[in-house]
Amino acid sequence: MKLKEELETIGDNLYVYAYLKADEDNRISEYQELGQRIGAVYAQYSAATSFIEPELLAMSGETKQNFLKSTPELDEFRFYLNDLERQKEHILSQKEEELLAAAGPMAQTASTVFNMIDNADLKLGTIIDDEGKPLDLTWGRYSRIMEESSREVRQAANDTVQVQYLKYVNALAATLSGSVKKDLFFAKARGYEDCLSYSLDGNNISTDVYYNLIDAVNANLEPLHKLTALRKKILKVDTLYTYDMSVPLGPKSDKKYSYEEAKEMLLKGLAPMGDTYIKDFDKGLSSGWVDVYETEGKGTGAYSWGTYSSHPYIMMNYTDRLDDVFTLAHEMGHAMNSYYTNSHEPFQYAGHALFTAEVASTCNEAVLMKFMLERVKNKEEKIALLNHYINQIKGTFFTQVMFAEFELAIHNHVENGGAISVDYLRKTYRDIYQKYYGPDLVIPENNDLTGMKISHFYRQYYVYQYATCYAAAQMLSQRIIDGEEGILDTYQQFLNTGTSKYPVDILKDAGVDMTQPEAVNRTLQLFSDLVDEMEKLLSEG
Amino acid sequence: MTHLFKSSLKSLSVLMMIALLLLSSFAFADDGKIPQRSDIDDQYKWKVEDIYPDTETWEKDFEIFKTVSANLNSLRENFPSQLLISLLS
Ligand SMILES: [Zn+2]
Repeated sequence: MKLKEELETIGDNLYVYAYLKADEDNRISEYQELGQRIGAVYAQYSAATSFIEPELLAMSGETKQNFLKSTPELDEFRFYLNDLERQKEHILSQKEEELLAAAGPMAQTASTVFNMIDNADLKLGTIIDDEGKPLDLTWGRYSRIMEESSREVRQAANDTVQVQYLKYVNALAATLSGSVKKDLFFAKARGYEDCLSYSLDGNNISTDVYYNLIDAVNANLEPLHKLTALRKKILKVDTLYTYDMSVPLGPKSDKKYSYEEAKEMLLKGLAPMGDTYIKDFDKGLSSGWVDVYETEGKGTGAYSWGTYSSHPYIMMNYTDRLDDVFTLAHEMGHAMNSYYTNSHEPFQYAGHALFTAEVASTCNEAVLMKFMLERVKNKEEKIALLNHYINQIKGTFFTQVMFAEFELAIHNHVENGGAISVDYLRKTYRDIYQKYYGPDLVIPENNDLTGMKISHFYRQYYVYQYATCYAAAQMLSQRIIDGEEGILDTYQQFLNTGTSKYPVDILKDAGVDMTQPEAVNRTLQLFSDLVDEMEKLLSEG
Repeated sequence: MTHLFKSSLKSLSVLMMIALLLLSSFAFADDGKIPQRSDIDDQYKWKVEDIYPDTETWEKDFEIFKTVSANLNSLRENFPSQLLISLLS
């Protein structure tokens, strides 16, 4: 029997049950207690089993091979064990490893302090809304304001939030600096050339992937500049500020999509993904996977979650907006991916590396978008779709590459002996920000603090994968729509695979080579075409 | 777009994907307009009971998990490699 698998499946079931129930209505404390109890026992369990990996690492390659031979049931661990062997040259002596492990909790300090400032100490502030009433800002409200409120309220919200961050600016620079130094410490201790090689080696990803992405985007920033200029013209402002950047362009479309309509659109729009996919998708929608509507006390946002033995669960807060339709497509993409992976991979490979995790979700959105754009009847709806599409590429692709470039710059700076000061961080962020969005954007005085606000920078070199996933998904979705021979089998294989191979190889098997610039260039071309189309539509008057 | 990443990860060995668009579906709290969970038709709710029908069943599995987890430590002290094999195979 596989004790570890059985135990962890039970542990996961206990954990997921508690948190899903708690998210149904967080006013009921019973389930929060269950969550705390299982959390504590799970931590005990993890501590008790934490010896496994170091012990396997300590085995010689020969012992491992004998171990595999003598215990045939372990064959499915071959990839895992070989991967440990691959990283062996960066494993230190037992004493050194013990020291590094003991330093682990201490190394979390920068990140912990940042989170304390960001989540506990810092309040976003209060503004006066369009009705003249005081409004306490939350990130949810902030993003709505940036899309929908008057310019005065947008400016007030922006300035209020930035001033709150300004109060903590020295501490924020210090924590980010501490985090980069931590990254460098571990990279050097393990004998890596730099932080990037260290970070990407975990999943055996070549640094070419990272550099290619940044280079390709830097060579193709004109469409983004063009969009900024178009925005300035359409909004008819003398100066375009950062708080003007999320307002939808063109006439507003109030089109509503009921949940039933959304389901129907998804089943029709995703038809190119094949009968099997649609059949399973439809079954999922009608088998209690989705928690659809916003109710009192329910968790916010949207996610897909589950365990190895359960079906997927999708949290939604569906409000009939176009965005909700795409969020459903996105989360169902994750859910279907997990559903297939759980039934095709053994337990230990049933997760997904982030490098592949956002492909299935984004691919669904892309296939649906292409279907809707082809069928759209009136101009307002078409503009609304283009707004959504362009914003998505801006947020999921360009912004992430911009962040990736900033992360690379500050790591290189420290690697070359530089010191991270407030001024250095502000100037570096401002320069990159300006370079991406072009001369028509005016960055207000305190909006260069953003580089110090991103919690993901405390997980080095993480966000670029949103951009690579986006590019890979776009390429796959186009091939699915074009009905390329064999693509459905290839894509199914991709959906079935978890972590039993390296993520770059999984995508290569699906025909997308992220070590080459093709996929990234295609997304850049797509964005350029969309901006041109938007410009044409809006200039027709 | 910086709030994209405000989500906190509940990461055990459990799969969890958080929507990039996490906060785009946020709605203003409009007093009295948000329905109660009991007002919603069951077909629009997830079936968490597919994991455990009720909390009593949860408690039973919890006891098993707790007991085994507590015993792993003593097992490890006495038979480390035996435990390794029995855990994995
Ligand atoms: Zn996602």
